Amino acid sequence: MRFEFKVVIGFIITLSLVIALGFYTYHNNDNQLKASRWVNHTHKVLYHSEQVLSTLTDIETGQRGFCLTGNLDFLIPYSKGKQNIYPQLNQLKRLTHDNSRQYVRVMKLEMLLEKKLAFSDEVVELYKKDPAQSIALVTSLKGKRLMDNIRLTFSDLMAEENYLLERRTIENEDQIAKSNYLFVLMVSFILIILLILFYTIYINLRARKLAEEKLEAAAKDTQDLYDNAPCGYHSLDANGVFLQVNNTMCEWLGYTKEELIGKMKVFDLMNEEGLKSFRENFPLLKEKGMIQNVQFDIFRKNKTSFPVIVNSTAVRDSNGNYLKSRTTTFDYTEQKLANDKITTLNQELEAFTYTVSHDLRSPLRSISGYAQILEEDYSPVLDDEGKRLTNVIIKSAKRMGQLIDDLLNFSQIGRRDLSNHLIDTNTLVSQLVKELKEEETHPLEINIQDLDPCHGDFNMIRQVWYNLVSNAIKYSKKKELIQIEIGSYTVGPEIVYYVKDNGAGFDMQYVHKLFGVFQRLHRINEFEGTGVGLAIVKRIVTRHGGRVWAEAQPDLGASFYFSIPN
Amino acid sequence: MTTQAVDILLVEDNPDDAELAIRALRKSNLANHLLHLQDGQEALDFLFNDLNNKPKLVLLDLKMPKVDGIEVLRILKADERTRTIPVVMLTSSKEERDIVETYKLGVNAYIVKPLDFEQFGKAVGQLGLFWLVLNQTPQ
Repeated sequence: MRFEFKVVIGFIITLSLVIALGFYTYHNNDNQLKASRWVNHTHKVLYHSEQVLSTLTDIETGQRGFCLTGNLDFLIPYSKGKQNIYPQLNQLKRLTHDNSRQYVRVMKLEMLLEKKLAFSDEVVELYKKDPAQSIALVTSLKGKRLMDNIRLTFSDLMAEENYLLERRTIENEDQIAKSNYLFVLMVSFILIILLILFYTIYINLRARKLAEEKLEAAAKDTQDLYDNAPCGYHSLDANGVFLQVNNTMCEWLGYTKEELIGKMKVFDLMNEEGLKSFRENFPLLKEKGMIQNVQFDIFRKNKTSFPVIVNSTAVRDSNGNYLKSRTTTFDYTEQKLANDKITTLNQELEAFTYTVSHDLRSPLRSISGYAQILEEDYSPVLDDEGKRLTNVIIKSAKRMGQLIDDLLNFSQIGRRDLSNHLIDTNTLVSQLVKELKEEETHPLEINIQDLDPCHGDFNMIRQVWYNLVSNAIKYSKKKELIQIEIGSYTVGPEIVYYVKDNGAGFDMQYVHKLFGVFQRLHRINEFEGTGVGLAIVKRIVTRHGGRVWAEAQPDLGASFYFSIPN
Repeated sequence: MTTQAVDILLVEDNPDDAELAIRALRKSNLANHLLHLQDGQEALDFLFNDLNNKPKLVLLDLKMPKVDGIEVLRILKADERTRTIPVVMLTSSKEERDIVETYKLGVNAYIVKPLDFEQFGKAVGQLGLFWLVLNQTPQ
């Protein structure tokens, strides 16, 4: 259940309980008020009953006193009692109006009272005329019976009221006990709910505070990363004005954030060339959302400049409109110096090889050419040793020419750009083998397995295959039948190709020399060659991200392997 | 020198290379109307001096002092009057950028001087035969 929902539910329950408690307490108080009114009522009935009885007793006493003494003073309370008793009785009537049983009793009382008063009046009037007759009337006991009856009725009336009083008191006490119990129950319930609610809110608040602290720490970290990263960060609005910039960038430039943000445009810091690049690239950023590796020089506050590389992506609003850039800037000074150095070195190297290829070959040509003229035009005057020596000159010059060509070829492979195409190795190798077979007169058997295709520079990979297969043929020529096997297999992320022959092989202790430039493991009069072929193979394969290696035994053949990343 | 009609103009600063080339051409009987000049400036002076008697073939070395072969080629191919003269570059190297550049400028052929003199003789002989005997140039 979600926190907000819990709180609302808790609040509603508490509120309902408080309202219920309020209503209940009101109702209870009302009941008690009613009960106490009833108790009061009973007391009033009792009081008035006693009053009526007391007044009646006064009348009776007055009548008796008069009849015993004939003193007219006794008739004063008698007459007064007669005056009061009816209002008092009416009061009693009103009070018992709601209780039919008591009311009937009061009506009976009224009737008995009327009779008793009438009897008393008769006794008093008779006494004034003839006291003996009056006494006889009294002794008839009619008055006493009436009086007994009245007392009995009063007694009933008061007993009933007392009973009611007792019952109401018990009921009231019960009610109070019950309501107290319920009140305590409800208050406890409210307290429990409030405690749960408090606990829930407290837990939530604590979790929120923790989350807030975490968030704050993360935000601080992020801000630190932004401000103090080892690269420049900044954001530009659609007009190229700085919106944000980090400390690193400010330190590089020598400006403060306040000087840059909202005040300066990035092209205030650029030279003509940078401006040109900016005019080309900024619209591209806004349109395509990204520019990469844009280079230009940027001015510091002190008017010195340094080269930077800039990458940028665009921040857009929900409608896709450009809002600002997210730009990283790298100080390119050192790399640029290194690059410039490499460029200079490459240029020097190129000039060197160019010179080698032209100037070194020229005198060679003369040596070779003139030696050949000697051989052609002066053979009649040269003896056999002279002819042999001329021949050695011609052959040596040719070999040197070959060495120069191979070396140039080797150096060019390192500099040439690599293209990247899917190479159908099966077709490449089968065509190459066909050409080599056509040139070869020695018995030759080449077994080509199915070869995996690879990605790379076709011409260079072809050169690798050419060097390896022609080597295999060359170094197997001393066998009656040259047997060569070509195949491939895949190991993990690389494809491995191999060329196995049954030729001269070599001693594995020299294997480390095999792929070096001008390194040869055989004498020149055994097998021709300049010792560059395998060095070229290694350089090409290495440039493709692969490896080369070989296994061999003297006179039992050699296996050459190279791998190309898959 | 200029009184006689020139069939082949050989522009070559290296005297050895020039001698070998002339010898090869002579072997193919093509050296009768040959003029050898030693640098690009001389070649340009000669060619623009008498525009009515243009050589049938210019053999041009690439690397020369003062005005080099590529410069001569550029000037010849850029000028209306000399554009039709066949020019064959003779060079020591098969440097890719030289080949590309000379073809862009409109060279008619590009020959890497072989080290083997016999091969060189054959190449120059065939070249001379093709351009002097077989090829028809617009007059």
